Amino acid sequence: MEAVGLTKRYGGRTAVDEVSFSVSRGEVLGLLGPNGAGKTTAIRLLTTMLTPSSGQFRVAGVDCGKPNDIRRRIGVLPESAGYPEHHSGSEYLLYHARLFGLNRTDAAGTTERLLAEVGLADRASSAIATYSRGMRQRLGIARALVNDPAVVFFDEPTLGLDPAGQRQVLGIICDIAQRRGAAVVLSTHALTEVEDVCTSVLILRQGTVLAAGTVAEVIGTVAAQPTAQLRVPSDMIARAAESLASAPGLQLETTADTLRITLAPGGDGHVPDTNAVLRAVLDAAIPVLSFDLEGTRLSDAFLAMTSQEPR
Amino acid sequence: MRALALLAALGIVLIGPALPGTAAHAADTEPIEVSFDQTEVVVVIGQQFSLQSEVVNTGPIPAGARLAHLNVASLTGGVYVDPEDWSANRSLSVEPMAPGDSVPLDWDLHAVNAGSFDVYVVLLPNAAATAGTGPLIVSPPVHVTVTERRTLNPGGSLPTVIAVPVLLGLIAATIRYRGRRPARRDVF
Amino acid sequence: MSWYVVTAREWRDLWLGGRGPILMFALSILLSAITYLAATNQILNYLEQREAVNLTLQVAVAVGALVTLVVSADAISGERERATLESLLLAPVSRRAIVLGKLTAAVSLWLGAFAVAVPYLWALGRGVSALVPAMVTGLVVGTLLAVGLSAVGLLISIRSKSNKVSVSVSLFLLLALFAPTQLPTPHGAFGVFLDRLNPVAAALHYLTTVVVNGRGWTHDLSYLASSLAVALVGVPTLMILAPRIVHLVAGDHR
Repeated sequence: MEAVGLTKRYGGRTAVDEVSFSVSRGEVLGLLGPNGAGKTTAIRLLTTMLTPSSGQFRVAGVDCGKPNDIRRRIGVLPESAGYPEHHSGSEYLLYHARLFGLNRTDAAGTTERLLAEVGLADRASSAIATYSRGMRQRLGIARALVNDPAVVFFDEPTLGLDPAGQRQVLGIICDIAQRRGAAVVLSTHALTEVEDVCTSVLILRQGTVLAAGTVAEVIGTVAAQPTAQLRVPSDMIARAAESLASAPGLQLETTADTLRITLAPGGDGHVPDTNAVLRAVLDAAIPVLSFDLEGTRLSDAFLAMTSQEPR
Repeated sequence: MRALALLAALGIVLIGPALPGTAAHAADTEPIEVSFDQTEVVVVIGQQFSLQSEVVNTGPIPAGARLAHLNVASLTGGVYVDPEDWSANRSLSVEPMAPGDSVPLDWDLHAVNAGSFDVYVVLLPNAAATAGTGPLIVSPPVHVTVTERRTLNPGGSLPTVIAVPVLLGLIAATIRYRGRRPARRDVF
Repeated sequence: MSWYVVTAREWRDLWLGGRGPILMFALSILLSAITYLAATNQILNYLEQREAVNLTLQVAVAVGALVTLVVSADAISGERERATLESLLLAPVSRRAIVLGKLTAAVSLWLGAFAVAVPYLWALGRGVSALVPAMVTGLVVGTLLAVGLSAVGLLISIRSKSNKVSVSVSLFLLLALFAPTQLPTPHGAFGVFLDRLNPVAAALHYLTTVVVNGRGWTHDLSYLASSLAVALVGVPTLMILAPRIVHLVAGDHR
């Protein structure tokens, strides 16, 4: 799937502004951004629920001018999707499989297979009203797969789920990309999910792309210097600082029981090795209570990017 | 004194007919009677029935045109009578009658309320010159007793009235009950 | 093909989901009460047999139109509020197929209402020659009204920001159309014109003409012009506009 200069305007307000990206089969693209960044609008544009004000996109070789054909090739789990409460899970899937043109026999086979894949086979005949939120999300994922889509969109699929439910849903999403070979677009607030699942990310703010690339590339685009929080017994803070004083590229800041270490790059641009920092402290026979690195995770990059004043 | 008494008697003779309460005197000159053929009727509520009355000129001189007007009065407390509901045509014209003539009048009635009622006819002079004057001649009343109709199955509608909701209620309840149970087979 | 799947689903939801049968059950209670009262009045000679048939038929047509309009008013805006519309719009199904399925399902409620009314009409009108004309005329007139009002209800539902607004506007419209039927027979050219312009009042007038007055079905046929016009304009308008106006968000410019 490829989008070029995708833009959506509502009067004078631009919800999505010149967004371009591509995602290939087997990849998971994480769509990130604070509330109102334009993630859901972008997904609705790509799923033909909205028409772009300008720009183009292609899904599995189909141009955005053929929305019906695109819908045949995509699967979508919308944010906060609703379900007909009195339908059973199998009835619901069967109906959607038939909407995608499957005959009764094929639709029944697809329904049975998908319900088993998302772990709902034993509740297939139960009314959706009796499903938990996690079960509904899994049913929604199964619905998104009834047409064996080339691209699957997930809009906040883990919202409101407990940790076990989140893990289960993310496992299914990984499986969709890896085993089915579908391209996946995952919109989420949970940055750890993105690090765990996504092969690339796209960070949006106020409709514009702040960063795009692999997780490592996006983290690398943030100029923030990595820091470490070293906790040692409070009577050994001074000794710990002393042991690191001679190490190049370190800026030290002490509090009652913590040593904050900024890992500033040297003149050659090389960032000091955190292992060397730890080794120096341990060599001084100082017990390390904790050592936390900051500024090296996607969440750090995300916060650094999105907390800047908008243009 | 005698002369005064004569004058007074003359005044009474001359002025008397112009004073109210003296219509009966005029009626004496045109002795018309009106009466029904029966004195008592018992009907069921809703029933349509007829009463016959007759106007007879019993006097020696011709009688002028009259208007016969039917009225219904309720004798049962709390029962309101709208005579229009009882009869669509409550006024009939009676042509001038020669001495000894009689005119039959038929009245169609609809027993609208249950209870005890008196039906009577009033004859009024029916000419432009006599408008607003009497005398009024009233018939003896016919006592009409209207009994309640007690039926649980009006017009044979009861089976339908009960069976259809019962059947549809059972269907709706069955569908709702089946809807709550796990679906075994799907049609799509 | 897809229209068939959507239509079958809508019919199944309405009738096997329980809503349709419960509405029919409620209608049967109402018709039972009216039929019983009409039969009582009939044997008391307060009401002629033809009038009793006409009264029951008019109630069936009125309630049929009411439930059809309300179900149509809920069709799109209700799905929006229940967040089930998006998954339907995401399927490769034309918007026309979606509204057609919902339109036919809503009209099926009128057909159900008529089927429920048939035994009552028979109970009141057996033996009277007006019974068959009453049933045929009632079916035609009611179907015209139901199709037209359903199309209008769907258009209101599509354009309404919320389901509450959609149902309220539709009910107000229906009340506004029914209100003149409770007024005395209009006199004067303007009054008659207004009576003919109102599809509900004109349709009920036509029913009375055929059923009570015993006129031929062609006698006052012009009274059906307004309800025919609403159906003939409403349905094509709905079908033509559906692809452009059925959106995830009401009034969205897409």
